[in-house]
Amino acid sequence: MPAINVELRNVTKRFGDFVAVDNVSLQIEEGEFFSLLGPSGCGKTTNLRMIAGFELPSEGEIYLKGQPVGQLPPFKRNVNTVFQNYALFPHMTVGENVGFGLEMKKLSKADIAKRVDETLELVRLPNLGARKPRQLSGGQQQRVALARAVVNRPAVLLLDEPLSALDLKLRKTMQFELKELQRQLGITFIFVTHDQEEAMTMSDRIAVMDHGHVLQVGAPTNIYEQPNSRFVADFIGETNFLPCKVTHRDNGLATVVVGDKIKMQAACEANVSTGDDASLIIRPEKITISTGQNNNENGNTVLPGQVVEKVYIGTDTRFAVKLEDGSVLNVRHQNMSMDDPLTHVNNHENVFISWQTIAARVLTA
Amino acid sequence: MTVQHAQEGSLTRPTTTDTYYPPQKAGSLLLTWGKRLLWANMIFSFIFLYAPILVLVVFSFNDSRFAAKWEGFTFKWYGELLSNDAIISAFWNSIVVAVLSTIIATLLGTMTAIAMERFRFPFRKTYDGILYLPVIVPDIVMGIALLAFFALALDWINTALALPSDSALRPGLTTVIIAHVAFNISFVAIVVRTSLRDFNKALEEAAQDLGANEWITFRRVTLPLIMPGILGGALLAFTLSLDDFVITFFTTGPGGTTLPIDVFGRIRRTISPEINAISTLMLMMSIVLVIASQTLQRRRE
Repeated sequence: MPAINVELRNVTKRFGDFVAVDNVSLQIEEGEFFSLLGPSGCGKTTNLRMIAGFELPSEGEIYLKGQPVGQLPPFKRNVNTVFQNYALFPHMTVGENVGFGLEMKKLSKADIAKRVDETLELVRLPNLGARKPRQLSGGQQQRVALARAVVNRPAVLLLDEPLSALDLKLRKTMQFELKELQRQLGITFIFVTHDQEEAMTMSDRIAVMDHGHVLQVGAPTNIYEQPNSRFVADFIGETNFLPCKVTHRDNGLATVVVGDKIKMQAACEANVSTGDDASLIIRPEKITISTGQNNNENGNTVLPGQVVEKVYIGTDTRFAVKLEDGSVLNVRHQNMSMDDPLTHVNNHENVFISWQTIAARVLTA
Repeated sequence: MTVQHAQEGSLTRPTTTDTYYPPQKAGSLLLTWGKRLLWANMIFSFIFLYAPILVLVVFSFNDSRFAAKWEGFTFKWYGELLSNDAIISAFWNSIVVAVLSTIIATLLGTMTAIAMERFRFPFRKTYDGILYLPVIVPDIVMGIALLAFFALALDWINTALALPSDSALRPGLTTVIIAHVAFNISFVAIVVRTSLRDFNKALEEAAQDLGANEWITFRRVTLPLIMPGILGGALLAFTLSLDDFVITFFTTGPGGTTLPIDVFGRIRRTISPEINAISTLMLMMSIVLVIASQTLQRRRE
């Protein structure tokens, strides 16, 4: 069991009447790549700024390696930040920027020079120490910001949407490099992003936030496959929602009725009980569409429907299928070949859709 | 991204050649007349602005007591200037007043600007408005106000300390310096505030994040980055102090004669070529200061 590196215990932050972070508790493990994910204004950046020390919590406590640090100023915390727009000192050279933290720790000039060089090498910017930040490209500035933070060997590295200013291609490269750097250094990374794909590909665990609350914490597969709320299901990936009523539940499986007509079973969250009005969620790629009723095996849910829309997008085709009760489900069908009968399905044709029963989940509405 | 830009470029270029029409006769005629008028206007403006100054400079080298007629080239008025003790002492007074009031006003003005920009305190808005007052209030009002204030304050001090009349405090160079500090603080504070407003606060957070306390953050990050603003403010204060007449006139006393006051005293008697010479020297100083400030700003970029 890895040690807990950072812990937030019942942390609340208020700005006047506005509650930015509402009673958040989180435990982040040693060496973990942890993401705070959510839409803008959800409190993820405030959370990060409280760990850094730029904001002090209104209530609750923050622990760093077991020590309470919540009320300490930033310069007394063994934590470093990579800022959104890098915040490199424009009047200092790259070398001076990277060496600033070591200088504050009163290391000798020779030691500083050595570690600055090593770190610039690490972020693949050797021999640029004498340049001024404005002489560098966005991607290079990003690496300098990274070097300036990791050179201090902090207990935790905080990254505030560090890739948002880069273009798509560079962002992909940097995602890979960041992950690689984290693996090499073994430092805990806390990464703030609003980009769900970025969070999914990089993180060991993700905390999904909305309106100051942490809704779900878990590994990317866990967050994607077993969202515990409508918000998480909707924010991460694409999802179909069907309003339904729970008629029976046992052992994590619920029986529901959709639109007073269609009865089906689905996996079920613990907080759902019989008689509840709930939502059934099913991801478009988990639905199989076919012209005949040939997926009728055990453990599958099979429903008849009618194609109301068909959009071809190369890798796959998107169908909108209307069910008996009038609700419409989006379905993704991977294009296998031109012989695929579904390639020739037209609007208003009757089809069957099916999914593994446990791929659909029932959540409280 | 770059590919897209290149395509855009190659697409738009032929379009512009398609819609390009050769200039038409009437249009081009109008254009040349318009241009000529603009040129004439510019030349006239320059003459209007600089002709008097040019006359002043030229006549400071005129070998004649009377300013109206050119009698030949000479440096003698500059020579006489240098041997005129009253002028030299007034010049040094001006320099002392300008240097001291600039230093004090820059320190106080910078601190005021930082306080106004960074801290929240009661009546901040009111104080903010009051800060701009010396910039708007006419010099004469400011001068009279300071005169009344000094009369009251000096009287109060003299009475409180029971100073005999021969050693009592009187208006002089010190009151002039205080008066100049009073109006210069506003100008410095305004200039420094502008550079603080443009300042990226994340830089201060970054410094603190890297282990610098508030003071080191200020000294290593904030101060160097707002320095051009501070120097700009200081230069403005120095120039304003150097050529101030009205406020100095009301607040000065024995031993507090600055160059503008001295020049004014001379003009009342007669317009001598020496005054032209002093003015030319002051003009030179202003030019040097302007060049210095421009160089500073260029170095900042």
